[in-house]
Order: sequence, then C-alpha cells, then structure tokens
Amino acid sequence: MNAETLLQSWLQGRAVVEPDQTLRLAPRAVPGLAEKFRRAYRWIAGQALHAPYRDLEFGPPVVLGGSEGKVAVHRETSYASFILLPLLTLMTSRRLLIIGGPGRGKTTIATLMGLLAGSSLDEIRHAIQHGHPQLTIADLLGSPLPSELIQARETTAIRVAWRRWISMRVKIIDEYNRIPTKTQSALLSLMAEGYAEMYEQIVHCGNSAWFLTANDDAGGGTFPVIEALKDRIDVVVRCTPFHAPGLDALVERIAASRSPEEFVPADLVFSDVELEAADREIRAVPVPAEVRDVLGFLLGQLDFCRRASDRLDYQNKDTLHLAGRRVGHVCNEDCPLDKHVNLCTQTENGVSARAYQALIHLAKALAYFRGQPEVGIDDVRCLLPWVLHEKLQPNVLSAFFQKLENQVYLTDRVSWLHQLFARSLEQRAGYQPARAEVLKLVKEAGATRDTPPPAELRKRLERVRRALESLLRKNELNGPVHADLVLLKGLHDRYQEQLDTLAGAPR
Amino acid sequence: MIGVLEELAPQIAAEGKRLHAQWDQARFDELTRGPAVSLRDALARQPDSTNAATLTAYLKLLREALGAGYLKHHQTLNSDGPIRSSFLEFGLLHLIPEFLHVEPPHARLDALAKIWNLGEGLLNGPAWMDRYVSAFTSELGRVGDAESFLLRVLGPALSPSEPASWEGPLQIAVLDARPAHDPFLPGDMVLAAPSVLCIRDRRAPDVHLGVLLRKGGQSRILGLFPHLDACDEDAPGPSVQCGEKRLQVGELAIDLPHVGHPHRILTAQAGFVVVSAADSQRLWIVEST
Repeated sequence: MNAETLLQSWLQGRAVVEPDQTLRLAPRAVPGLAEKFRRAYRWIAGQALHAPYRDLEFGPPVVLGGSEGKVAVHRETSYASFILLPLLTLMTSRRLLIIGGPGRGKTTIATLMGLLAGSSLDEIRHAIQHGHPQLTIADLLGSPLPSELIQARETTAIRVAWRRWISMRVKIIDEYNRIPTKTQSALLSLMAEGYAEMYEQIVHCGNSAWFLTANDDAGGGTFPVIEALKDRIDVVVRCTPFHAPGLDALVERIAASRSPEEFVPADLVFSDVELEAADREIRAVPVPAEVRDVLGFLLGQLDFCRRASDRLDYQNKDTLHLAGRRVGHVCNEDCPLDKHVNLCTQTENGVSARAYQALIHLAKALAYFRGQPEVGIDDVRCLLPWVLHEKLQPNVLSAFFQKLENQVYLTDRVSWLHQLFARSLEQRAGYQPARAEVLKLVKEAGATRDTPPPAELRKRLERVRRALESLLRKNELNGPVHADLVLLKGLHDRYQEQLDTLAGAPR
Repeated sequence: MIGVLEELAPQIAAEGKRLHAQWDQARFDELTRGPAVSLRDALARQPDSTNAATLTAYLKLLREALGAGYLKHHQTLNSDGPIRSSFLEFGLLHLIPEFLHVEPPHARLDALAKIWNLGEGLLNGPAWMDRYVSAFTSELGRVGDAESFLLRVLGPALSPSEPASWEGPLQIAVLDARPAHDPFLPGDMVLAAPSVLCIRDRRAPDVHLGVLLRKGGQSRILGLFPHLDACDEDAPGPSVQCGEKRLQVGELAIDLPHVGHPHRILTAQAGFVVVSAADSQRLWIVEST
C-alpha cells in the first residue's frame, strides 16, 4: 500500500466544494444493510416507542430468585419482540399480525415500518386500510371508472382505478377482524396470490410486508376471521403493556406536540433496492442440519397421534379431524403414552409446511440481524412462539393442562410454546442414542445421488428393516419414534423402488 | 459574523435531526458553544466575504460527523484521561477552530473538504491507521499541511519493510507503558502493520496499547488502541532465545537490563525483537540492521 496513492483516493471523498462556493457532502455509503437494520431497531427502541421489556433473549440464562418468583437474565443482547418482529417482517416481506388493546402502539409501529420503507407519513396515513363492518371490496381494492362502465363493449375495456395502497411496499390493515367476511376473501386473494382481479383487470401487489392489527384476535372483532386468511399470517406479536418509566417520554411528546412517526431520520430509510438486497442476503443465511433436526424433532411430534389410526402413515391429527373428532376425544387413559412427558398430547393440531417455511425465513432474518453467520437454535427458539402463536391450538383436555403448575400455559401462549421447545430439546438429547442407527442410514442414503448397485441396495434394505425392528422393539411408539419409523419406511420404499427399476420391473 | 452562528446552528441542528438516527442535540449544542465559537471568533478577526460560507460549511461538517457517530464523547479509562481521538475529530474540534483562519480565505473551503475527506478515509481504513496517525497529531499545526503531514507519518508505516539482515549490531530501547495507561501490564503482542505493534493488557483483555517500531531507537508508544488483528509476515525470522537479562538473536546477543522472566517475545521482519517481562510494565525493543 502506497501512502501517496492512498491519500489521493481519500481526497476523492464525499466532501466537495461546488462552483458556487458551498460545501456539499454526498450521502454516506451504508456500512452494511444488517447494521442499518440494527440502527433502525436502536432508534425505534430509544427514540420512538417505549418497550418496557426485551423478551427475545439469547444465550444461557442466569436465573435469579427462588420459589416466590424467578427472574432470568441473559448475558447476550436481548430485543423487544414488539419492535424487532415488525422489523423482521419488513426485512422478509412477510405478514405480521399485531394484537393488543387500543392505544398500545399497534398502528404506530406499523406506520414506522412504512416510513422505514420510504413512504411519507401522509402516504401511509392515506394508505392504511381501516377495517369496519361496511368495508366493501371496492373500498378495499378500487372500482371501475364509471364512464367506461357505460361505454365499454367488453369487460377487458373497463379500466379499474386500483387503490394506491395495493402497490405500496408496506401494507397496513387496521383492525382486520372488523372487515366483513366477503371483503376478507378479497383480502385473502391479495395476500395469498399477490394480485387482485376485477373486470378481467389484474393488479399485482409486488414484494411487500403486511401489517395487520387486531384489538383482540380471539373473537373480539365484528366478524370472525376466515381460517384461510388467518393461515396466511406468518407471525404474531403482542403489544407491550404500559410501564411507568415510559410516562416521561409521553409527557415530552405532549409538550412537543409531536408523535414518533413524524421524525424518522433519513439515514434509516431503506430504498426498494436495499430491501431487495437485504432479502437476498437473508435468504442466503445457512440453516445448519442440527437446527433443522431440532425443529423437525419438535414439529414432527406435534402432528402425531397414536390413537388416530392403527396404520403408521395415518397416525396424525389430521386423520382425527377429518373424521370429525378432536384430540381430546382420544387422548385419554386408553392411550398408553405418558401425558406429562409426550408433547403430542399438548396440541390439538400440527404445523403446516407454510408455518415451517415462515419460521425458517424469519429465523434467517433474525440471525442476519444479529450478525450471525448462520441460523442458531436460539434464533428458532425465540421466534417459534410468535410464528406458532395463532397456528398451534392447545388440547385443553390434555392431562398435561390439568396439572396446577401447567394451567398457566393456557393463558400465556408464548410461555407454553417456549416450554414445548425446551422439553423437545431435552427429549431430543435423551433420544439421540436410540436414533444413532437411523441417522447413519439417512446419512448413507444422502451421500450420493447415484443409485447403488443391486447388491448394495439389498444390503441397505436389510439394514433398514433391522433398524425398524429395533426401534419398535426397544421404544414405545411415541412422536419421535413415529417420525423415525416414517423416515425409515420412506427410505425402505425408495430403495425398493430403485431395486425394482434396476430389475426392469414396471412401475 | 455576530449572530450568524446563532442563526445557522438551529437550522443545521434541525437538518441533523431529520437526517440522522444517531443525532445528539446536547452534543451539537456543546460543539456550537465550543469549537464553532472559536472558529467564528478567529474568522471575525479577519473580516472577509467568505467567512459566513466557511462557518456554514464547518457546521455542516460537524452535523455530518455527529450524525455519522464520528465524534465520540471522550471516555476516560481508569482516570487516565481521554482515549485518543480520530484524526477527523482532531481536525474538526482542534485544528480547524484554531488554525483555519491562518489559511487564505479563498482556500478555506477546500481545506475543510480536504480535512473531511482525509479524516473519513482514515476512519474507513484499517483500524490501526487512524489511531496511529492520531498519535502524531501534535506535530500538525496548519490545516493546509494536513496532506503532507499524513504523507510524512503514514509513509514509513505503509512502505513494505525490507527484511532485516540480522547481522547486527543490536541496539536496545526500553519503553514504559505507564505514561499511556498506568496499570498496563504487557500481554499478548501482534503486529498490526509491519511497524505497528498491538499489545493486550494481561489484566484487562479489552485494553490494548499501540507501539510504533522505528529504527534508531525512535520506537514509541502510540497510546491506547482498539483490538487489532495480526498482519502476515512471510519472511522467516532469526532464531530468538531469551533468558534472564540476555537475548540471543541468531549469532548475536545483547543484555536486557532488568528482564527477570521474559513473558512474550515478538519478532518483526523489519529488524525488531520486542520482549516483555513477567513482572514489568516495560517493553524492550531490540533492533538490528
């Protein structure tokens, strides 16, 4: 490195004297998008919203206190879910439901996300869709131009005046549970398919982050929310309660007659190009095999129901539901599994692939936000309760919830889901020795894409059969064992198919 | 000029708040009451039509530096005084307010832009470089000399050092870490650049000291540094053995006064062997041709 060359390159910096004798500073290059998101978080947490606690905690806890009350503190930086989850939603262009009582900052945090995405405050205020019982599809999406309705000879000639909010990067639907059912269906198409259609005209909503709010998602709205719409929501966050130290900030706001949305600094605003770049960087964050396995170990168990069928493949809760029965009907003393140990008893349903994808995507965003090179178990642990908050229903009749110390989980769903994850981690550690042979066989199967020769296939088939026998003989048929049995059975089917193909058998 | 600052400062501050998430209004007020007043007064002693534009440009630079987080609050470490500032901070808060008026009026805006660009370049460069330059800022007394000053200071540190022949004779210099940081006890050492050493405090792993290695017994302590990674040196060094009060470098030997038990030894291919002792705050810098 030559000093003179280096100095010359520095002198081409962003401070320039213009011909009119004014000094101009070009915008500063962003040091890194993840750092910019962290700055945005810090600014919101420090200047815009008062979050009394940071409930997304990382690293091993240090538990203080005793039987009367415990407090866990952590040695790594913690974050407030009420601020970070909206930011992760913006980063991933997903769909967030913000729930909480009136005046708790639901619309404010959503508006802040819109401002970070580059819209002006006026634009956002005009674009917020306020749910109310008279909201029509035309109110929501737009309407055909009246003159063309009269003059057009065919529907394709009718131009539609689409509402502007549809193409905005951040979409805010306030009090979505007050929207009439028919209009909810139109909203569902937009959220699910990414476009709306009217008079054979189509409008695409592009890559966008959705923020929906509800005062009470458990039936307090004017209309019940259709299940398909609920299912499209990727993650949920709760408003934080008011906390006395936040009062000072509110007093200051009253004195200054300003709200936090009015002054988002320009250096925190993301361009579309930056948001797209962040999206690409986030998707590239790797998810290690161990993290995938930890997640699979838990989610596999939740769907399992031993009493749903005698056949291995159908031993899941969907079988029960399709027959019009509920887990509570069969999860009783007739099922030999210990209800205080096995996790399958705790839930009424399993988790869809869509929820799994949302969790993985958000975990990648969280790892990226934290500056981690790959997704860690902590990232998944922190996000899982918020992604499954509205998707996983407890089986309230389970013996697990009859125990006094577990009844609190029926009111505190986040802690319930944390507990599920923690127990699953413990169980996985205890079950690992029994899985050793299964994992070996899976690894062997994944080692190459080439079909092994017939002799090798026959050997593998024999080993898979022995592993199946061994698992069944040495373990009770519970969620984790069931997942491995399904895995091995699938492996067996695959090898058999390969063997048949090599033998030229018709398929 | 009277009233210009009072008029400009609130406008610049409002812009700062609009633009920057890290905006610190109290600190900006402090700067407009301190360095900005010094500059305004110095300029006012030489009335010129460019003075208002100069002051405006200076306030803009303060705003940008504050918003970008370049101007830190001075932190004291074990009551030893402030940690060394960056070159940009030195330029904005000391050099410009005290010496810009010396420059001809038509050259002042260019001088401001130059200080900014050089300072920001240093901030964005390798971590050692800004700290290293900051250790010499007392030698810079004119805004217009900034470029030549940096060339003079950075040149030797950036020039690739010819591997020493280690033919001797050996010469020794002893540096004391205490004036830079009283409780400093030299621990692990790395070369951050061919002639810049970064030493960790054995008792406080977050505290590091920078040392400049210079021939002719001119090595010196640069002050507290951030943690720096080691740079690679590929030339093989001589065999070095250190015993009680004596250092053997290849075929050559030299007495190390007061070294009881050596703690760490580092060899730089430019011809230096740096020794620390288990029970001392000093550093023994042995150099060869």
